[in-house]
Amino acid sequence: MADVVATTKGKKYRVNVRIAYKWPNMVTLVPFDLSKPIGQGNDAVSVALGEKEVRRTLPGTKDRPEMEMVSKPASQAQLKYLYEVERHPLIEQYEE
Amino acid sequence: MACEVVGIGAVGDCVPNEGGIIKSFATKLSNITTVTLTTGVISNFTMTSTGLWEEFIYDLDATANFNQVGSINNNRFSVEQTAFLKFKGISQAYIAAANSAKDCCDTVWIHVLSNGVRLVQGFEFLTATGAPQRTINRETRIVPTINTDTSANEARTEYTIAGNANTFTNTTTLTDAAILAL
Repeated sequence: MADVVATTKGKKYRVNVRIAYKWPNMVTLVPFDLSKPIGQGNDAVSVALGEKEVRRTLPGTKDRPEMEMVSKPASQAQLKYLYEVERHPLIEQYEE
Repeated sequence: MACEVVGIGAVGDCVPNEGGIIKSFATKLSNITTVTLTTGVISNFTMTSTGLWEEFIYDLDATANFNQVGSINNNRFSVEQTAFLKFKGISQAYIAAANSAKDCCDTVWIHVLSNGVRLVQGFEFLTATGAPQRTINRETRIVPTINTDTSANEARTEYTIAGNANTFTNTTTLTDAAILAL
């Protein structure tokens, strides 16, 4: 529901089709709270730029246990953030 | 970059500013599709997939460092960028890692300084969001060394990461957690 609110009517966001085909498992970071930049209490969230979530195991060290890492597909609001705020060159706006 | 002479003021107080690096992260340049800049500082990476940043936790014995030495040759400026990391001991795992690392042509490293600054070695200074360009004059490679030394000293595995660029490195604001989340 939040995605619909955050997206301009008729306009959606996606990874450039050629790039998505070349790298279907791309990941990047977005702020947890999209209204503020990453840092100063606003954690970074890893998102997948492809259609499927991406999983991996982060090896443990003496300071932390092994962890399962999941990057869920970016929502329209997160793609919009990358397009409008970061001016990410691989994200494009299109008409629905 | 256009010529401009910018003044630098020395830090006025007596807070220690110890040298050296305390931790590093590395990946292959080809794993990075986009580097995002926010007011000139790297604020994000977009990777071809997840889990491509490897963490390097080396000996904290005042040996690790990352130096950028500028030089000029017949009006041609370049920067030799060299990091040194030491891991105590020799093992099959270290040997396998060294044998794999030596074959990587272009690597990218985030070196964490003890004062919190994070320097990104392995590509030319970026002034806009986009794909990074490898260190122009010589690619940034890992040169491993494995020394038993003598019984009076320590057996060790060492990585020297060396490249030659036209510019000094960018910094990044990404935290350890953010890098590992990628």
